[in-house]
Amino acid sequence: MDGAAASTLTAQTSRPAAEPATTTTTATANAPRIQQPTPQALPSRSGPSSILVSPRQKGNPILNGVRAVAWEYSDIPADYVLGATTCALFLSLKYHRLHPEYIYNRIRDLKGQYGLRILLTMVDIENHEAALRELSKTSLINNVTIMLCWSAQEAGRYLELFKTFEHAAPTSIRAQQSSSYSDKLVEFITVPRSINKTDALGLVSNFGSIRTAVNAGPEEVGLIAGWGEKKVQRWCSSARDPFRIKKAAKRGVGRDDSRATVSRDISRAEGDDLIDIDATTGPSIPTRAQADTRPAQPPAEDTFHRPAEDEEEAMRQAGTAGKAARTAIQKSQKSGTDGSGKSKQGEELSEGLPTELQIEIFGYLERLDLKAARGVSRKFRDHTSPSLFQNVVACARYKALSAMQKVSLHPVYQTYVKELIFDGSVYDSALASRFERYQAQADQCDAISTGFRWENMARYKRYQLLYREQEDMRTGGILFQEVSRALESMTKVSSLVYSPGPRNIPIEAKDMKDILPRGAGKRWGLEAESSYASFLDSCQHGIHHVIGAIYASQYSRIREFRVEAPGVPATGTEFTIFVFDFADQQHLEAGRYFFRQLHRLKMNISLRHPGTLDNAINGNALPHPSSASSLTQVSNLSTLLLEAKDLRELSFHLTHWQPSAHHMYGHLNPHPQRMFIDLGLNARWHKLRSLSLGGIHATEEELMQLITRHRETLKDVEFSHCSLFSGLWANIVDEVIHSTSIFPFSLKRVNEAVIEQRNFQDLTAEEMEHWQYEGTLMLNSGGLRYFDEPYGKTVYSSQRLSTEEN
Amino acid sequence: MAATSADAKKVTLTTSDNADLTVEREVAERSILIKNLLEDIGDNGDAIPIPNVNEAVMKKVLEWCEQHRKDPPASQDDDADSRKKSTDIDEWDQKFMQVDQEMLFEIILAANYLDIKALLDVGCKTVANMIKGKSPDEIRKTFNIQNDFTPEEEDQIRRENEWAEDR
Repeated sequence: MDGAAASTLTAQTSRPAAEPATTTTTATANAPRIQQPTPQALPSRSGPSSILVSPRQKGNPILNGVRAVAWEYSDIPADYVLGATTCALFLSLKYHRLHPEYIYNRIRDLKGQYGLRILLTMVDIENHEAALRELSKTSLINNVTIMLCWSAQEAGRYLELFKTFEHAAPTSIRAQQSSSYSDKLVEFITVPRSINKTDALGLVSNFGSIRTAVNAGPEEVGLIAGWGEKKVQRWCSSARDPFRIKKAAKRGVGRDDSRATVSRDISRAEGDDLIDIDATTGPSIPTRAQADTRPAQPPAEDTFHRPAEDEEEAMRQAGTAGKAARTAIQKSQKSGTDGSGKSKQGEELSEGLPTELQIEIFGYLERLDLKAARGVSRKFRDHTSPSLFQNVVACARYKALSAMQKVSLHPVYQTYVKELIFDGSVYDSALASRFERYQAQADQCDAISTGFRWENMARYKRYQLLYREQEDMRTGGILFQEVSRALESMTKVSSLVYSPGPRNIPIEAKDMKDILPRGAGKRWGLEAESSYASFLDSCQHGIHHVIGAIYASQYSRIREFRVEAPGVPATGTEFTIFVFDFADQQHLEAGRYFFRQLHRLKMNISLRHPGTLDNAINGNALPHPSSASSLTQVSNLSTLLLEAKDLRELSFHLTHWQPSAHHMYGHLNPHPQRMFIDLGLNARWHKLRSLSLGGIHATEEELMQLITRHRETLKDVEFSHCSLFSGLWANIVDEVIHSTSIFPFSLKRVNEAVIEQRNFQDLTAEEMEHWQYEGTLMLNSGGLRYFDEPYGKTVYSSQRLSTEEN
Repeated sequence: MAATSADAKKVTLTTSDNADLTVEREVAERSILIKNLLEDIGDNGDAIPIPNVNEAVMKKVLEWCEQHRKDPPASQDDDADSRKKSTDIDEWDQKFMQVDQEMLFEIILAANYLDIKALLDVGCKTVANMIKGKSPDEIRKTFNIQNDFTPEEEDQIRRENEWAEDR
């Protein structure tokens, strides 16, 4: 291949100087036989006169080698544009070895544009054979021309040449066709290596014709002066050996083979006509050695040929040296006897299945398995990476953020990222401020080992340090900046996830060893001394910076926002209504921008002060916001819900359900009955398909209207832990069954606020259990819809009670 | 040839090695490819060529289709990819998938070609389960794969793995 590249080059440099701009010196040397070029239509000179260079190539030393031609930066898909129909990509093999997928993506991004697509390949590694073999296969499939270079100057020179010869006519590089019979004859005979013109003349003068020379035995040829053993052998093998190497020929004679076989037969039989054949197939008559080094045929499927593929094709591939060697290794490793023709390539996962299926398979693996699989082979690495880097964690921690940065800067992995996960867990300010407090919690934590006091002290210092870093990143805007920047390159991100955390990245494991995990144990932020402002600060944990970054960079491809509920037992920082206490109007603007794009919203949100579970139950007073600011938070949330006009799926769950609306909402809203409307749930989403509500106290009328408002689009409805202030679930169920096409529909532990003239909240736990309905809409065998309630009271129980009373 | 009575609607499939297999239409229609084909061209009794699947594999695939003929059509869960997928396989399918690797891959390819989503999922899960809990070396042994990494690349992979969460 390097030979080919070089010969193209010399052919070009030695052509007659058609363009005055050329500085080629060798051009005039062999100019005497000037052929007057026939007039030709020149390609339109629409391209600019300088080489266009992608800004990606900034700093590439090969640009220093481009001197004779002007160049300028331009926003182009290729690395260099050398003419209206010519472009070049630059690839360093050193880089290719680390990121083999890179170049495929770049080629793909060219989208078939440009007539001549050059892959300018810098050979800067020792063992380049395998890489170049793969590249040459790729180049055949993707219509890319590989040019090899060994230095930056050489590469720069190639770019210059391609530019200067942009409009050159092809005549000068056409091979010289011999015109006289004797010239053709000599040319034909000298095709095998080491046979020169003198030998050719000797051969012909001895045997009289090519026919007899071809049919002559080696011993006869050996008698000619100057023909030694080697030459005789080469000549005879060229004249007689089959075109394909023996192994392949033995296995099968296929359709594709026929032309070559025929021509060989002809060459045996009709010596005098040989010259004609010479003209068409001459240069490709392979000696054994040439056949072995010939680049692979363009296979229909190169890297992932299927077992069902044509046997012939496979055999042909096996005929090339590299492939043969590889299969040979595989075969030899295989135990048992089936080393030969019978077994197909199906045995090897990475060979046997097409890429998309492999990626699908790896999609079933957990991360640790993915990581193990990445270490298996290059193909496994390439096919597991999409799953492994499907999501990245963004948070205010240096090491973790550096991991996100690395993924976002990786030319391939950046395109795999679909989900940005925000880790809400934080290093606690109260713990970081006093060693005793920290140690009290650390002693209770099983996850970390107990140490000597000096060890504990050192760990505490590390905790403090991490806490300070976290605060710096939040207040200093680093989180904001990094996320904005990352979104510029991770353009496939379509989902933002709030995770209560902690979500740890292995890269930071060393820093966190033996210190108290974030979000473990009780929260301390609730002491009497802490003000509402500092409390608020601790709830806002930085998600604002992420949404702010999305707004600032006008990133408009986020379709999903998922707020996860804390696990059991609860760790990390729960998402609360206090997130919506916006310090200034900009936050609301950013929120609007973000919510406007959403198609899916899944929100598990707590109305309580974070981490106050124990306190709330004990009824302790906390740093209490004025009810005015609480209502602002609720109204901010409802503004955003209204803004999300494109929602298809809404899952809105208030966590920590309480049987009494007053207990649930009272601290926020003096009128708990109005909460449904205050939260903005009376909105209309024109495309709403799926609805799931949880922890909501509302009236029958409100829910009924919610369903009828979206009757046209709604398919999928679920209520869980919802309570009716007034009205009956039975009516809602009847409405759904008879007047809508909603399916599936389910109720999970929903109740009515008044049961038999008693308040639901005053019932005993056992009675409550009894009066929480649970059921699913089903289809019977006749296709009729009915509501299936396998246990407990049915929704109609209370209906019956009330009719009896009347 | 009025074999169109409700219970005996049969179709004939011609495999890549020219074997004719006759099955009930309902069974064959587990394959969306065949289903669409029948809908498009109408059932005129001609054999349907399945050029990418050989007889042995086709028989196996049809065995699965027969077992799962009554399954409800796959739900069009378009958001399934975002959730963590489970690799649980029901017992019958597990037994069904106890074949050598070559056959397993052929079944997966056939399921992909014939567009039988549920079978494809079972196949992919089976392969995923073969990878689960193994070290890179064990995976290589299982699938007979060459380690083609340079030490440099292995190092790179270790570093990259640290960028992603473990769970």
